[in-house]
Amino acid sequence: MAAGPVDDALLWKSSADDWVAEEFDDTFLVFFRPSAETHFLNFLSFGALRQCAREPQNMNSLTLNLRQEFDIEDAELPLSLVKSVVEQLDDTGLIKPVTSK
Amino acid sequence: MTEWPENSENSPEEQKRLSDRRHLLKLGVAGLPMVLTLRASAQQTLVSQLQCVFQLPRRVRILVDCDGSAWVGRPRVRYRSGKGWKVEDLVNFKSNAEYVFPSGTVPSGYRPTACPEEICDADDDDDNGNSYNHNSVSELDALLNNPMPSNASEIAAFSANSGRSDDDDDDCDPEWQDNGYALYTISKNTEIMPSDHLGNGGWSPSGDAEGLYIVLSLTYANSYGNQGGWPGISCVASILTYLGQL
Amino acid sequence: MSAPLQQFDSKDLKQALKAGTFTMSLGPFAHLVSGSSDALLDFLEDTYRDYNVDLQPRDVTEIVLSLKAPNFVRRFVRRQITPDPGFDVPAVPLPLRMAPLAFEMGLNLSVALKCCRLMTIHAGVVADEKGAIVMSAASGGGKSTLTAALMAEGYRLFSDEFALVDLENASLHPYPRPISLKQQSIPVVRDIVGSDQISDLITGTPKGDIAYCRVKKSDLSADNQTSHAKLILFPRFEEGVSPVARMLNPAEAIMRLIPASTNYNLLGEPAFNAVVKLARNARAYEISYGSTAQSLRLISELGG
Repeated sequence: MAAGPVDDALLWKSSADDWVAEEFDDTFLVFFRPSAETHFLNFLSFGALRQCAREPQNMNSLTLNLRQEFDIEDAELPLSLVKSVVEQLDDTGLIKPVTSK
Repeated sequence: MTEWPENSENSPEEQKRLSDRRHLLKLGVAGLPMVLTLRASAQQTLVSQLQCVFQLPRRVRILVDCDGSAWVGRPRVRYRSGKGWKVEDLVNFKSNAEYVFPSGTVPSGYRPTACPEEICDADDDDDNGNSYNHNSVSELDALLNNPMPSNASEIAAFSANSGRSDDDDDDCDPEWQDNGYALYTISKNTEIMPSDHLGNGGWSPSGDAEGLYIVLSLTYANSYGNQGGWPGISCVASILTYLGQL
Repeated sequence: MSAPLQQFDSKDLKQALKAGTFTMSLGPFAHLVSGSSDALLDFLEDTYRDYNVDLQPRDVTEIVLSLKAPNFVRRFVRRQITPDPGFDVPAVPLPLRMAPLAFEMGLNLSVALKCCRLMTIHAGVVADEKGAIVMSAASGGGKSTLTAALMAEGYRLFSDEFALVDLENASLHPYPRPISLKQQSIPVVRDIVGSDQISDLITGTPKGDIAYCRVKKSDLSADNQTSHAKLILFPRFEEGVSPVARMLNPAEAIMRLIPASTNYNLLGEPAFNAVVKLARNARAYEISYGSTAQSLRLISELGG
């Protein structure tokens, strides 16, 4: 399911119709319809999923948007952590890469 | 490290939430997974647990002494017909063993059939505090359905006592020990299906090396459950769980 | 005509079991059972004596269980029995005298792997008028002992083995079969419920010595009265530990309940919705305790 190494230039998107989410105290259970698997996401990974469902994002825009959404300073949310989150979401199939917006 | 903005209007709950998030980000930077997936289900477990097979990732050697202790490791242990086991190798094997099982672990059928009555000077086989108590009875013997056959092929092949007479005891060579151990070797990539060793409603491992591996796996699982690095333990533990023995 | 099993003549019961027309209705399921073992008949006449059975087959039976020899030879030589729920399962052949265990295991396998209209979670469930307590624990975690103890305290037994969760509203369906007791739990439960409530001991099974705790008649007659969960517990018995309870985020409780479900992956989204509802409406705790008395006190303090 994973697209391979995360490329900074790739755009990532998610189809909100493919999953259903339930929030419990800043943690999220996400049922992904295509795989019928259930995923346990924290505020950051769910935030990334939601951002990608709003519109396709590359790594830089996703990082900036997450920092803004959660009011996080740059050093608290390095690009490397967002990259890791994207890789993990990609592994589940919840997000996938697209070539253009 | 950048400070998070302190907002005096934040409620205690909100402050806790921010603090938790900050902590989580730190853990994320340190490599904590941000996404967990629930793949396993009891349904899969129920269906597969008796069918599970595991493959040994590398060659396994199991050294067994007379009181049913076992050492599991990889080093070679030399055995020469007429002389016995190389003491240096025995010591090396024991001290480098990856897993050690206490006396009484190995059922009688897997133990060497003859044990040393005298030990040469300078012998340090007792460095683990073991004594050669021929009468120790394995708890597993009582638990297992069938007693082990005493003429298992591996024992015949590797046990130092086979075909030897007591006369040799007089030729005491401190570098070699003529009996008291059995060595079992299982090749790399050997596939073991634990359910092959189930029968008549209980465990009845055949007397071969794989059977001994299962016996040790059961003991390991009883102590550590499905934890640690014992190859195949999750398969064995799932069967024990199914049978209500874990 | 359906009637309590003890009202039927042994000969007729035996004949119906042999012919495969023995039907037992319990909770949401109708079971069709066949087998010709005397040990099975003895067990049913003793432990299932108050259960409603019918000696004529129904039009619809959800659970079909046949107890038979694993092969032709085992019908005669060192006779064995194995449960056949009508689909391929890796069941261990058991000596004939262990027919009760084969029967119970067979029913469990059938419910675990064949039920599609309810979410099944491996858990003990009891209830009072305020709601149900779901107890999910690994084997040996003390679930059966705790279930039996709560039953003795006056709670209604739903099941020792399965939480049957309605997919629409997450209510729990009773399925009160005898409580399976293993090894050390037998004397503990015997002390709590009394010897006359415990079946004969079956020794030397793959699960060790086992026995079954009988179900109260009143629980059988209430087997169609559902309840909603008020507490979800993950109990852990450990000799000598002080009693302690840790409240769980519902998400964590769900993360633990899902792997304990036998049909979650099969049902998919409806099961996700059901387990979310179940956990949202209940409080969840992980509890550790060193004795049954401690666990009962703890549960009472938690609002059980």
